Amino acid sequence: MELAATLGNVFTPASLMWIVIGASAGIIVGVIPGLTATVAIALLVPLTLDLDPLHSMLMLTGIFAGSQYSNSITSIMLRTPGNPAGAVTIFDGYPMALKGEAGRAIGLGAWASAFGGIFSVLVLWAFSQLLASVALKFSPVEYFSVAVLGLTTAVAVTGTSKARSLTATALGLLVGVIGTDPLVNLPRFTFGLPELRLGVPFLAAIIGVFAMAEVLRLAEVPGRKTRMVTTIGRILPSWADIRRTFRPVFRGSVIGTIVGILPGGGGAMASFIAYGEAKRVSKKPEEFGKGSIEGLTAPDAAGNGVAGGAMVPLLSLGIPGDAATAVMLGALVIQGITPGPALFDGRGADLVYPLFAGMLLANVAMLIMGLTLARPLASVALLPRSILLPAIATLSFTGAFIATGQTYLLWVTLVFGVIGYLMVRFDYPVAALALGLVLGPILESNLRRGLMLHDGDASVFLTRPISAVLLLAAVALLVVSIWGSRRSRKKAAAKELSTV
Amino acid sequence: MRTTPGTGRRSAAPWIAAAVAVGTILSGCGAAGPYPDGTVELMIPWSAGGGSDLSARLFVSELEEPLSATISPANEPGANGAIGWGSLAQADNDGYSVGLLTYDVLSNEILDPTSPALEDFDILAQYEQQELYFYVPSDSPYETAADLEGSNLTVGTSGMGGIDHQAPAALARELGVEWEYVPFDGQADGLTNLLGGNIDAFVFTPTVAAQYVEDGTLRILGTFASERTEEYPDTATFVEQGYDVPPIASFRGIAAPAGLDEEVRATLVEAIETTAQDEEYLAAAAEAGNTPRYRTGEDFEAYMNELRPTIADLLQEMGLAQAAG
Repeated sequence: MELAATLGNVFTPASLMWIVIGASAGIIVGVIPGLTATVAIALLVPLTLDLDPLHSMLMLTGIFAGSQYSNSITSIMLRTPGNPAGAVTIFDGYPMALKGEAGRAIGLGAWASAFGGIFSVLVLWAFSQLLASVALKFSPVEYFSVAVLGLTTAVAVTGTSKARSLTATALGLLVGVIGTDPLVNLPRFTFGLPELRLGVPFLAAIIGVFAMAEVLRLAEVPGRKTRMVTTIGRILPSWADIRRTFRPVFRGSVIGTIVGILPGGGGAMASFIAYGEAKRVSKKPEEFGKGSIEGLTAPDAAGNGVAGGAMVPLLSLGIPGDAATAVMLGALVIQGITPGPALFDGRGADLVYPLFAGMLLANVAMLIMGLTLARPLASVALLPRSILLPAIATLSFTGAFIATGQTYLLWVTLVFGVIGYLMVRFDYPVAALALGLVLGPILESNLRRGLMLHDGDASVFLTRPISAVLLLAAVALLVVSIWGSRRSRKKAAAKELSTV
Repeated sequence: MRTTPGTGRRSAAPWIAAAVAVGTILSGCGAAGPYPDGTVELMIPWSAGGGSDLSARLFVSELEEPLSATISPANEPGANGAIGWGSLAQADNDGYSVGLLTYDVLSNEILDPTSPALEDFDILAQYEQQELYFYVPSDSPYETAADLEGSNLTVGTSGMGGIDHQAPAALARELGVEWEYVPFDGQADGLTNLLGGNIDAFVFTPTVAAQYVEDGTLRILGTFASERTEEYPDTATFVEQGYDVPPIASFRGIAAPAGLDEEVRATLVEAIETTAQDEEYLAAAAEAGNTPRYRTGEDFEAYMNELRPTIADLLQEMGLAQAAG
């Protein structure tokens, strides 16, 4: 179908209304940490039952885009990630907010997310069936190697010393083995406590190490009336900033789309890899983690690029790539549409292309609404600390609790709050721990699966070409980053000597 | 007026708090009327958005009217359902706590001796059932179950010891072969790997793989159902093909903690039975790809009790059964 004709069909007042309603609902839900796009869609699916299929899908894509966007607002203003990918937005977004550049961070984040989202939808539009066959080439062996690359990024880009990053990543991996064994369904390291069979759900833990830990740290600073963030500043991104961030945003979008296409890849991994790549090619890597706009925008673009990418296996194979698309699949099936090859051979074309057009519009709506709503949403962070800190603590607990209502999760958030606080205090990178937690289960189960599929022969990880390339890239990244940090330390030492 | 506006505002706060507190206490003091009088909570032991979750939410949204009560679904996922069923078994048996029962409740009992057994529940009814089919890629050399004799397959499952592991294991036992089982993250992940050629076979419920059978990518070798199904009337059951497999099927039912009051139970059962035959529910379920199949509490319990020893044997042979402690 013609692009223009399709856009014309979708560009009706009713369609726009459902997109805006979805995006508003998504933005509201996304502000509450723990309410991820997945939960928002699951909660609102019943409302879409009476709509026609197109409007219901438009509303759902609106929710998706909206909640992605507001997740990054809480990351920037309150250091409270709404989802695992939001953890990466914190690295440079929160330092920018503390410097009084919150508006700039939010505006640039909105532009990067919208670009990533639109880029991935266009890729989906043009190549989804071709790309779906690539997704099928990924066996557990390749997934293991992608996860290794992701973990290497954590070590390479976080922290002041590689040893500390490695320690924090390993801690994350270790915590990840607590709970029900992902393959055998038997409890391990649960010390006889029934709750520990749930393991350490990473969303509750990540909210703990970032948001709760920050509450504990700020509680030490005297002065109850003082503010953490004093100004929001200009929100609309300047032309100069857009030009400066174009390359990282473009690369982030590509990375996000690729990772999104792999079922089970996930937004956090894409964001981390995009962040690592942006830092690697940057001329000013020392600014990363201190408020670099490149470091902010690359992962934001990747995070939203995943959204479009994840629709590739969903629509063309009928296989959901992550939890959010699994819920979308449910919603589609309820509407009588079964995603898969049949959708593209004519039978579903009248729905697929309007859906693509709707996803484009949802991203545009998110950009416009995001930029206009940014100031009222963000001004919450201007409240005095005596109000803000308890509010963040409450939100963190709600965030952990809300999806499942299990009190055990409150303990996870609290314990990881203390762990996060101690890590910051002793200068261990919290982000590396977070990525270890997120990637640990992917790494472990695919390693075991890969070995089971090949009679325990470990050499397949090197003899299968895609896997071999990924592992080589991981090794190269590690070597370069260790060598780089040695050299910069020597340089710094030499500089110190010369100034004495 | 001696008080300044500021202090006046401050002194009002405790009164507001007191009013809220007293109000809350009073609202809890309602006289106990006939059941149901209040919100009934439905425990779902699976995470929000999954197949079982959507099915249960759909069913109870239609159940509210005949029961004349608000039903609020609450997800308590984890440990293959054991967490949710554990808390349902310990909930008050006053009819305000009910829960979704699925096949894994039977497996858990054997896989993990700390999880609740069937006797801990008052089984109210089954409302849906999905049959299981054995899928292979169309380019594989196997056409019927008999071709599988002497085969050495790598079979995907969506979890060690789960229903889609037990079913092929039961078939393999009848065939006298030993297959290798690789657990994936659910059926979608398994489907990707079956289509990608990483595994030789997978046992699915029909919704997951239907269109790949239609377009000729996958082939069904037989069903575990006790008789031919409406969906695939041309597919022979394994029993017909001479392999005596148990009637393992994925089911969804409603249960309450054991020891319900007779009247409360009768009210619940009547409302569930009405819903299960309700046109609106049947239409919505069909649209969602669910397959309604009603069994009374007694029939449902008998069916599960019939399966129990078979499952225990299978899991024992698979080396997954834990000694009851």
